[in-house]
Amino acid sequence: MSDRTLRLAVVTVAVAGTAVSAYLTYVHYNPAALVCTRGGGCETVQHSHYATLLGIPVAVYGTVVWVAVLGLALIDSELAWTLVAAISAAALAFAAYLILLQLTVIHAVCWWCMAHDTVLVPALAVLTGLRVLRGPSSSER
Amino acid sequence: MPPKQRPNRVELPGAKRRPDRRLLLGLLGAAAVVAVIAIVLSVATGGHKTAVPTTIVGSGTLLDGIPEHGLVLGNPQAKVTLTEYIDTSCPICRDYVLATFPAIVKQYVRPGKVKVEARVLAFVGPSSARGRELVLAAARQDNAWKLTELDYHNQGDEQTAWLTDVVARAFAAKVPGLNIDTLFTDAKSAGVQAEAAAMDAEAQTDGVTGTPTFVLTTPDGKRHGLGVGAYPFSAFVTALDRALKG
Repeated sequence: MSDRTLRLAVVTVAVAGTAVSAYLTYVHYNPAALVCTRGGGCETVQHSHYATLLGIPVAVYGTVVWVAVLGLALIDSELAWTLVAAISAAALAFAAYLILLQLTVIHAVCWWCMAHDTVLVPALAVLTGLRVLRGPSSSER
Repeated sequence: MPPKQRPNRVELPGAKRRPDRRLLLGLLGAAAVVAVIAIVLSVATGGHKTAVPTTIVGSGTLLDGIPEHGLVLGNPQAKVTLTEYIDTSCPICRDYVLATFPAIVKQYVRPGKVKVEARVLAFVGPSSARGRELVLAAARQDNAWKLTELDYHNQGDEQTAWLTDVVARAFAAKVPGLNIDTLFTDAKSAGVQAEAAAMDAEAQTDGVTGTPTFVLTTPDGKRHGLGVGAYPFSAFVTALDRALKG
C-alpha cells in the first residue's frame, strides 16, 4: 500500500470519526435529535454519568482528537505520523474501555458509539500502525 | 591508490525518514498514561455517585408561595398548561430542573400565566419506581413539586438504587407540612399504583419515548408535543409566548 493510499484511508477514517463524534456532541445538547434503534440504548448511554468526563461530554474529546488526527494526516511528516500513532493507541485503549462500559456496566448499547469504538478507532490504529512500522514507502523515500 | 571514501549521506529537503524509534516509544508511553488517567477519571466520576448525599440542597425559595394542587404547580386557572413527563432518576431531567425550570417558574408560573403539570414515569433505573411512588404520594398532600425539586437537586446515579428509604425520609423532612408517615403509607397504596399505571397509559397516548418530554396545552384545549430533552429556556419562551397569545 503506497503512502498516498494510506494517507487517503486515514483521512477518510478521520473525517468519518469527526462526523460521528460531532453528531454525538450535538445530540448530547439536543437529545431530541438522537436517531437510534428502538429500545433506548443510545438514550441510556447518553444519559449515563459516563457520558461526561470532568463535566465535558466524552464526544467533545472525541471530536477534538479526530480533528487533530485529520490535521496531522494532512501535514504528512514522520513526526505527524508518530503523533497519530500515539493518539490512536490511547484512543484504542479508551474505546475498549467504553465498549466494556456499555456491555457490562450501563447494560445498554449506543450503536453510534459502538460503530465509532469498534470500527473507526481500530481502523485508525491499524492504518497508522502499518504506516509507522513500515516507514515511508520506497518510491517516496 | 587513495582510500575509498564513503560518500556523506545528504538528505534532500522534504525527504521522509523512518520515525525516530525512541520518540515513538516515548509518545506511546505518554499515550498509555493519558489513556489510563482518562479511564481512572471516568470510573471515579462516572460510576459511583454517592447514594446518600451528605448535604441535602434544595431550590431555595423558588416554589415558595406558588400553589400546588396534586401534580399541578401554579395558578389552576392558567389557560396554558405545560406537562412534563419526568423520571426522578433521569439526569437530563435534572439538567432541565437546574438550568431551565427556575426561569420558567419566575417568568410564567409565578405570575399565574402558565401552570405546570408533572407526569412521573419510571423506566430509567432501579430507583425510578420508588421515586414515582413518593412523588405521587406527596401529590396527595399537595407537596409533589417541592419533593421533586429535592430529588433532582440531590439525585444519585441512575444506575443504582440511590433513593433508599433513609434518603427519601431525609428529603421529605425538608418539605414543610409534609407528613412523612402518611407519605410512606400512600406510596405503597393501591391508589398510587393505579395512578402510576394511568400515567404510563397517558405517556403512550402522547407518544413519549424518553424524559423529559414536554407537552403544551393551549387555551383551545389542543395538546402540542414540544419534544424530549433539556431544552434551554429560550426554546420554551418561544412556545409559551405563542401559546399565551392564542
